[in-house]
Amino acid sequence: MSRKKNKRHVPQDIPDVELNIMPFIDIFSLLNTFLLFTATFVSIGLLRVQVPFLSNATPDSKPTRSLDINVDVGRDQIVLRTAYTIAPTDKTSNSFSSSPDGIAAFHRALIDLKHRNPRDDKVTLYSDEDVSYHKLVEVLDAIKIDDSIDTSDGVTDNNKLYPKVVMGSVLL
Amino acid sequence: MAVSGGASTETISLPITPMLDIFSILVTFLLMSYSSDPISHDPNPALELPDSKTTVSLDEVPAVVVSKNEVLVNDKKVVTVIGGTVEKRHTTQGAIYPLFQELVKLNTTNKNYADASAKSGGDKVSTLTLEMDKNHRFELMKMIMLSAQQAKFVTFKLVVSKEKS
Repeated sequence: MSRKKNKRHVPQDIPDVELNIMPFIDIFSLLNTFLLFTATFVSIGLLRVQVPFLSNATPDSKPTRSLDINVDVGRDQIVLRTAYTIAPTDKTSNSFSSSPDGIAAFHRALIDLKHRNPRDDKVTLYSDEDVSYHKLVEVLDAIKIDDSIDTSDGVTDNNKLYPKVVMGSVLL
Repeated sequence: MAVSGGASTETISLPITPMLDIFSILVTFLLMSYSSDPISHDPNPALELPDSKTTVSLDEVPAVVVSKNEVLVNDKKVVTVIGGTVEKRHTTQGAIYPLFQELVKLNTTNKNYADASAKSGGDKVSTLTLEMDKNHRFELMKMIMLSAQQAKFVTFKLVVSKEKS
């Protein structure tokens, strides 16, 4: 029924109409050229660390009890040492291998430590001289990056687990 | 060929739909991967950056670049790196002396700029952005950090390659 109806209404004298797509192609070409020239295929990020320095600030007259967290990075193992600044110091020491699994376990131990001491935000890192820079960055990631932060949600800073890292080995 | 004969009036139309398809896909891909980082910086071709999960973006061009073979301060070669370390004659007290001299000049320039522009400049003056090859050992990194520490730089921004999540 409907087909018959449609056929009846087809006009007989419509000229051939062609869409002019040349401007569209021009725009696409220009956009492509601009994007290809300005594209950066390596996304660059930053990790902030500090070195120890001498300060002439007067020390706290009433020191508070806080947790000292030290990380020793060797070629094959990572040692996490903790101690409170005021007695009882409750010293602990845990070793992890420097394999990806070991670094993941080290990261979980730091998360656990953060849950128990949420106010502490500083880690002092000591490294052996033969440790490669990329291994050190893996350890820094494990110390600083909070995996629970959803980075797909426009988060610009996920360095929130232990944001302050002091390179303890860099001393004269 | 038929057209070149001259007699035929047959029109040949080039199918541009596949080309449009390619263009659309390419534009979509480029727009999706377009970086909106505040600074666009191409790493030195003579080095490979370590991968990191950080989301913090680069905010200034690295001042110190440590490639596989040399140490550069603002693109000026300061010292040669041989076998992952610096020749003994360039080192004093664990630091690299020519690098220390360049960093003192850089810190003075930064400080003068901060004073002239009446900004606090505290962060800029004491912060150094470091781009380094991922295969170097901590031995070299320590020498560079010691040189910078003596030139009054206490905070370092380590340049890394962001891992794609």
